[in-house]
Amino acid sequence: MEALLVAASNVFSPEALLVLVIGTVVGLFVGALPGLSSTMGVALCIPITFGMDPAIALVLLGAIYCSSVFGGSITAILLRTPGTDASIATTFDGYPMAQRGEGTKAIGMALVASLVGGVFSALVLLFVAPPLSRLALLFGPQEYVFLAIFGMVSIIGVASGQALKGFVTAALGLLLATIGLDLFTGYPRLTLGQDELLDGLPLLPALIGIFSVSQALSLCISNEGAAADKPMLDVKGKVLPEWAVLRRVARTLLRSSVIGSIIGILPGAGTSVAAFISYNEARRHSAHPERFGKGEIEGVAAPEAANNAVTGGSLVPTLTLGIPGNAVTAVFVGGLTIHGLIPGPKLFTQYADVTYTLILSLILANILFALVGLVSAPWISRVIRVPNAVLGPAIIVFSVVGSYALRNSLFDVWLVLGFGVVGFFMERWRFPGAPLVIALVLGPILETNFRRSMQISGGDWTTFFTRPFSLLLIALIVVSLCYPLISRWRGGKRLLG
Amino acid sequence: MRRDVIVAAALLLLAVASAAGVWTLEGGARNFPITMAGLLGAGAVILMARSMLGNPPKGQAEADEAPVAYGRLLIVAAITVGFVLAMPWIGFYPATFLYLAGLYCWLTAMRPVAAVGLAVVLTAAIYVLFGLFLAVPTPGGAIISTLLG
Amino acid sequence: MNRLFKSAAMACVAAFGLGVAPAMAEYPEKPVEMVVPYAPGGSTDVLARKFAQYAEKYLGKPMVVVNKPGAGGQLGFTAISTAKADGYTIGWINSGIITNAITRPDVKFSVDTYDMVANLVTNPGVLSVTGDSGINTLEEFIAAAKKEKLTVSHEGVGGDDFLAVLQLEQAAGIELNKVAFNGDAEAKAALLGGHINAIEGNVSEQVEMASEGGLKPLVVWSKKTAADMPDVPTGAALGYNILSAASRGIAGPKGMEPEALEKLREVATKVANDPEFIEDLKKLNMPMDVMIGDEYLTFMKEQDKAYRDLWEKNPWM
Repeated sequence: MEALLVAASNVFSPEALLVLVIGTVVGLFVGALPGLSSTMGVALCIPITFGMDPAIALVLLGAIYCSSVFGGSITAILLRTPGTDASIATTFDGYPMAQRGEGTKAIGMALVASLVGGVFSALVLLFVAPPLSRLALLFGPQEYVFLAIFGMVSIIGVASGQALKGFVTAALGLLLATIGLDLFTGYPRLTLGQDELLDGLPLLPALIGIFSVSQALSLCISNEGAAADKPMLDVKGKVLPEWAVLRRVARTLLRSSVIGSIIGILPGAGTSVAAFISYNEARRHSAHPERFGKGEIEGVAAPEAANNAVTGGSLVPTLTLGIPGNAVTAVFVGGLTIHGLIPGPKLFTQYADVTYTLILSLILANILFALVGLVSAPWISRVIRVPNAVLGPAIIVFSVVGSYALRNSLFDVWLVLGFGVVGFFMERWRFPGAPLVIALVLGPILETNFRRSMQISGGDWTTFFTRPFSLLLIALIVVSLCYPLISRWRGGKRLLG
Repeated sequence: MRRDVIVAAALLLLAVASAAGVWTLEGGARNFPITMAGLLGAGAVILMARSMLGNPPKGQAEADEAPVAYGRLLIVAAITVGFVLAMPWIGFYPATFLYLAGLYCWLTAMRPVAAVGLAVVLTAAIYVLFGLFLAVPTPGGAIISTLLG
Repeated sequence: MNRLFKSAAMACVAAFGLGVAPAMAEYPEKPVEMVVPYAPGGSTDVLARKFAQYAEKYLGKPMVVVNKPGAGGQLGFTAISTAKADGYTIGWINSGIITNAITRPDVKFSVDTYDMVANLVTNPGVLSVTGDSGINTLEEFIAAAKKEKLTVSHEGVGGDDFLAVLQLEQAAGIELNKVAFNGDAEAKAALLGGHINAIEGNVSEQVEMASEGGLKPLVVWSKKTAADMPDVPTGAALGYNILSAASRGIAGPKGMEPEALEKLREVATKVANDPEFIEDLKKLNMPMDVMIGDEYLTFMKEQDKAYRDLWEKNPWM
């Protein structure tokens, strides 16, 4: 308790508040721009923290982490160009809303959902982190196999009416995910002799190409030269959702926050998976599943609450066990150690004041980006009025500089352009892009954990069906798969094509 | 739905080529890619069959798509390729300026002066944001640095 | 005219923030680029940035960290060994330049394609089980492995942990179930969760968990006992002459200007003796092991020979 008070006085010092504001603004930019991921934002700022007090340094990193996840959603909603893979699911309903002129409203919903998810997970981290960290250990390779399958099923399910094409693009993504050096044998696979592909097909260039560049190409050729040609979209209106809407989505917000926190705790599972599973669950529980994908506000709320809930969750194993939950928190560990704070149980006892400072600053960062969003949403959403021909080339330039910066390689820039053209035609010909990108995330998790399980069990298949958590996940997958059939049987709407 | 048939055929070809590419690897390394190539191939065959039997699900007719201005697309793509090719020679920021100025003059209804002005402003903004603020590296300019010895 | 053009171009370039090299002067005339073959935020990156921070003081010009991750470091190793040998491009290398050159003879790097500046950090390999496993010594571990097949994690075929496990198998006459994990975090989670029996990793990654009692380190694969784990015996003390470590050092392309190479070695020596730098590395849990110039080369050549012998006897791919 005493530590909490020290932490509060740390966070509310003028220096910390200033750093918090800077971190939030940087994070919003990093998240919104294609190619600059949360991981990179945090990594780029670590050298800046060298000279800082450890508590202040953590405030900066935490603020960047939280707000970058939200920043990605703004462009996902307004331009259909998610800044990071965490915001892909947000495009499904956010972009149609923006097209209808409800961009401000969609950002408002994203903002509230992110705030709820972020604060929820920070509270989880604050109060129950040590016991919850056991969860990260209970999941063995077998469980990760089913988690990956659950994620894939959710994503293919999302492509409603396009199940076959969704399946085909997912299979393509899983195949592309095998490119690179095989971890288990050391042999290169499908690299076409390119050393740049030995680490695998990089995720971000594929993401930027399929979403940002393809959209930019569409904008470039859309034949709307001047602003006057565009239908005057109503970008006014209140930012915050009405009370009635909030009450309607309250359950979804809570469910998604729980899903996001849990998936965040599992090392290596990924923010985008949390967003997709939440989206799919929200649709499954909705009274109007047919509205999803056409601008349903609940479809914005679900992934946004989930992807921000991952932030706190992923810090649970990072801080308690020293086992980072994802790439961003792995960079966090570097930031912690450089200030002499070795992640582990001591962070909650000996160094509790510093840890609580971080957690409080996460909560404060969530409130702060919500405020920034609240004030700026009516202005930002006007970007939709900017002529397409102005936006298109600018997005391409951002994509190019972002993808080059990933590893200082022109190869990645060419990948982005290639995926941009592929993505352009996928969009036109109704092959959903999301399953491909998410398959690139989940493919390696699926394959390595499957082979690991088989190796540990000595080739015994029953290892997958004799563990309690495996069985739980199998049950979830079966329910998720059968639900559309059941609802159809009960006279519900047709979901799968 | 003839187009879906062609796409499916291309995917099937890709699946076969990938399977062939990993065929000689030892078991552990090749099982997963071959399974995935199999799934992709199967999906492609079903897609092909469905398209050829002419039974597309409702609401998917090709007619409701906006026509693609292929000429414009090709030119934009070509200019973008030129932009990336030019970067290592003249440097990222000069290339960006030329790219934006060129596309804006062509694509927008702005007067050339306004288009070039906008390109300058955007390039400067990108430089401030990426070069100064985030300090991310950008491709350098070989010609300019050799000119300066 | 030419001058006018030049100065105009120069102004232009300066405006765009590109480096401008003035005429001949003493090395270094401009910032030195330091290639890190891994992504920002990783341990090599953190070390490099710390080093760069101190090196500027002694070099007189900044050292600019450039991340070139890819292919488990191979892209960066290639970039360093094929760079212009003018002393303005150096970078971080490790045992990967040896193992990759053995398994993939077509790569453009090996021990002989670098001029060694200095080794800074050596993080010895360590084999650990959980604190409640009932196994307390390497002998008990080997005895257990002879009864049933034990599962040990490593971080990819051909890496230093993998090769240590391979050497142990050979020396002790046991067979282990070697399972690859993506990094120490996943492996530690699997070990603590009881999904595997042991992990092979590096001292700095395990020292904290070992001090909490979650991990029980059995053996350190180094010549001397590790400063962070003074109670853990070395392989040699137990009769297993196995050496394995993640060492991180600085090198440049072969044939660097002697003047530049000398200056860089001098800077590395000064940084390595800077009390503040030593203090910082201690905080980072990075065991310092300073070898300058030829001493570093000898060390790398020894390692090269050991791995080549192992490959002769027991090719792992």
